[in-house]
Amino acid sequence: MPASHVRRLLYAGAVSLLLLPAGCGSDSDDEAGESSTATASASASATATSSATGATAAVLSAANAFLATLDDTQKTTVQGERTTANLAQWSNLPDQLFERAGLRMDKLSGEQQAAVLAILKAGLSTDGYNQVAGITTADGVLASTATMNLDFGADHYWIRILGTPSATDIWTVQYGGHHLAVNLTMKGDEMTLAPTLWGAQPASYTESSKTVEPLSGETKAAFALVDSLDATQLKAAVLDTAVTEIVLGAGQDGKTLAQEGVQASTFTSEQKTLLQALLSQWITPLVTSESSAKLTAAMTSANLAKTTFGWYGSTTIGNPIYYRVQGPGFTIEFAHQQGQGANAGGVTHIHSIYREPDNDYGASL
Amino acid sequence: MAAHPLDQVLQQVYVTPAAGVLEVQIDIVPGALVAGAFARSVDTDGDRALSAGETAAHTETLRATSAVRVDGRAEPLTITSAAYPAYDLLAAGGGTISVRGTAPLPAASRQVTVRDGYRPGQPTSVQMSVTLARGAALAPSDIHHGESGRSITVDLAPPAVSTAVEAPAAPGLKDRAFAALRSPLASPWALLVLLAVCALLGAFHALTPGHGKAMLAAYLVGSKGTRRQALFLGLVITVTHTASVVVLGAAVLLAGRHVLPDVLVPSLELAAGLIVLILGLRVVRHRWSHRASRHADTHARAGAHGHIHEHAHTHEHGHPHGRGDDGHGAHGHPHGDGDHGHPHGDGDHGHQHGHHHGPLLGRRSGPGAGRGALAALGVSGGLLPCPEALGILILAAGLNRTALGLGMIAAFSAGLAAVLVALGLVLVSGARAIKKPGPASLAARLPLVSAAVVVVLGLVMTVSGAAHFAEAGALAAVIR
Repeated sequence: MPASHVRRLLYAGAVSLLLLPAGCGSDSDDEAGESSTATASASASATATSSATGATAAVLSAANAFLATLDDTQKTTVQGERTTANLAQWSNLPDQLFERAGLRMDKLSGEQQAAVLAILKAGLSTDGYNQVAGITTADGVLASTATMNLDFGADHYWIRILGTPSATDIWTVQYGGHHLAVNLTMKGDEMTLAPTLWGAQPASYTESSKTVEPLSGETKAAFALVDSLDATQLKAAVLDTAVTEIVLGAGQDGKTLAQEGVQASTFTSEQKTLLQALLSQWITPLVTSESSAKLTAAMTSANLAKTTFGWYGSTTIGNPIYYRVQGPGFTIEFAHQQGQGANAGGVTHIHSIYREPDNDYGASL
Repeated sequence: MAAHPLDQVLQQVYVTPAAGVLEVQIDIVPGALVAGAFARSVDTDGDRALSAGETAAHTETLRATSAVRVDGRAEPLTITSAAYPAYDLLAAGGGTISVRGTAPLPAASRQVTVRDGYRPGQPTSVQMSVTLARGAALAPSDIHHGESGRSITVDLAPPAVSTAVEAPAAPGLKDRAFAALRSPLASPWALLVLLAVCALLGAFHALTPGHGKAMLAAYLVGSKGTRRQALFLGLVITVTHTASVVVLGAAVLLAGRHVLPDVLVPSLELAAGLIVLILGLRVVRHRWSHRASRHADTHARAGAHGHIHEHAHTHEHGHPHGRGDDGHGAHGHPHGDGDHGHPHGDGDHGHQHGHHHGPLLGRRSGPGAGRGALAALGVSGGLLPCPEALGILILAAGLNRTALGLGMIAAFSAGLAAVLVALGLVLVSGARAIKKPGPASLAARLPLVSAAVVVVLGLVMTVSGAAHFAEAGALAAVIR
């Protein structure tokens, strides 16, 4: 290439650099990039939405079957508008301390109760459904032994349907009470379980000579992961002050926590496997056909690069802990209740939350 | 609405850096075992109801015992809302008190600290967390808790560089620089490495948008400036840039809340825009007024053009002082270039002479042509400080390592200067390569076109500065 051509190319390159838009350290490019990503994501979501099929169709069918068992008064009571206030009307508290809406299971007939459980079976995986059953049963155990009963028990759980059950439009099934708040949102053939509060007290009990531990998977998988960290990773993971309660519990919708803890991008392949096992505990309570894609997305290298794991407490299983896993598609918190006195419980008393930033109650569906 | 632990009053504090303000939300959740005593402490008249006066007094206690510091200076927390449950629900352990407030958070802020000093009579635990706001100009880059959870310090950065969100696999240069400020230097070699990193950071930063590069390009291309001019302009931009960082940083640190960076920075942007606009208009006027007379010399210019190239290079390397008063005598080509054949009163004339005959800057009689005008353009290009450099200085001062911070900024500026000067030199050399004879050639049109570009850039900077200034003023009015 002639020297003059080289000089012209060099010159053109320099002018291109120099004529970049003004603005010292402007972030506009990055913001635009994020915006484009969000737009693309929304667009992809919009085009992917279609009529209910598979799991969402099954939930729709089960919900309509349940509604068919109700009288008009019950139908009016159980259904509500999908407003922000109605969606947020859930809590970990027992009924005496929190006013719920909808129909409570102990007020329903056996047929109606079965119809409610059929909705849950359609929207949850087997493990997810068993977890719900384990939590509600635990509440019955607590009610039978507690010195202070604030109106809770195995059948003190409420069903509510927000929005009109539809094959195409968005609608939500809420099922919750003390230590449980399942929010199952459907739109077309998509579904989300966020936000869902999982609690347990007692976290371990015996039923028909079998030990039941509703949140044992979420506990053991977390200890397995923290045990695998090397000293540097562990130092990064451990939060610098005590956390004893979940931060984004009931009443904290719309918040996105800044990330703290060790970066998953530093994990070895073995540690990533352990992380996947932990995430699976939180993502796969949703029916498998809907959750498998979420779990796969969570483990992509791009998303792992933006995933953190934070910890507070002993790393020896059996001790009370708090942990947090945050990624682009989820926020997970787990807290043993470490106070003293009646119903405190330490490792026998768990509060936890699963959220999807930007997609709680199906906001992005 | 989480009432655990039962034997404590739990305070959940959410700190959110938002656009122009720091949002603080304090949720107080008394556990069932202490809720009765807590509710009675709020219900000061003991009537088992919370009156407006009682809740207002409690809110004021919360506000007064909270503290917000932005870049080391105290900022007032203004309460924006307060929600209290009914007394009975609160006393039973089922209610949450939620109080929200804001404090000013200038866009150039680099660190906030929030402290919760509220101590009801019951055992209390405090959890402070940072949440993210959409569209915020700042995002947390590092979070530290202290005082058993009662205080939280959040380092802030523009969202694009937030390590919390971006979570890069390896720390970037800027993160290393900021991290190095916090850690003691192990050896003189570590200091050298740190300075080298800062220089590299400056070099990379020079390639990001801004820094007067467009103005520098338009001016140098249009005037067919010399290498010496490129060097001079690059250095002026760099020195101004460094000085503005130091001055603005000092103003922020010393004058505290009286100097709001988010007001001062748009002011600088407006001033820089006006300088560029005025200079650009003057250059356009002069180039336009001399354009007609240049036509008369078209043939002479065309014929002499080859000489111009030859002599320009020869001169710069071998005859740096061989110029006459108007630059023609030494080489005997009084009409050697279309842009250089009119030595009287042309705005860019001095540069054209300089192109051929060395540093004629300052020798021209026309406005906007001399070293002063070139310096003014350089100053306008460097007047806006980099947030990164400003952040380094403020953080260094906060850590009582100001000297190290100044050294890092000097290294940063050296890297910035190297790139700007190198680009300017490439531009000067390249501009000569594309020059062609004839009135319709790019070379012939370039002076006027480039002057117009300078005007447009000045206009854009002025309008942008005015808009930002108005926004900052409105924001300041709202948050005070």
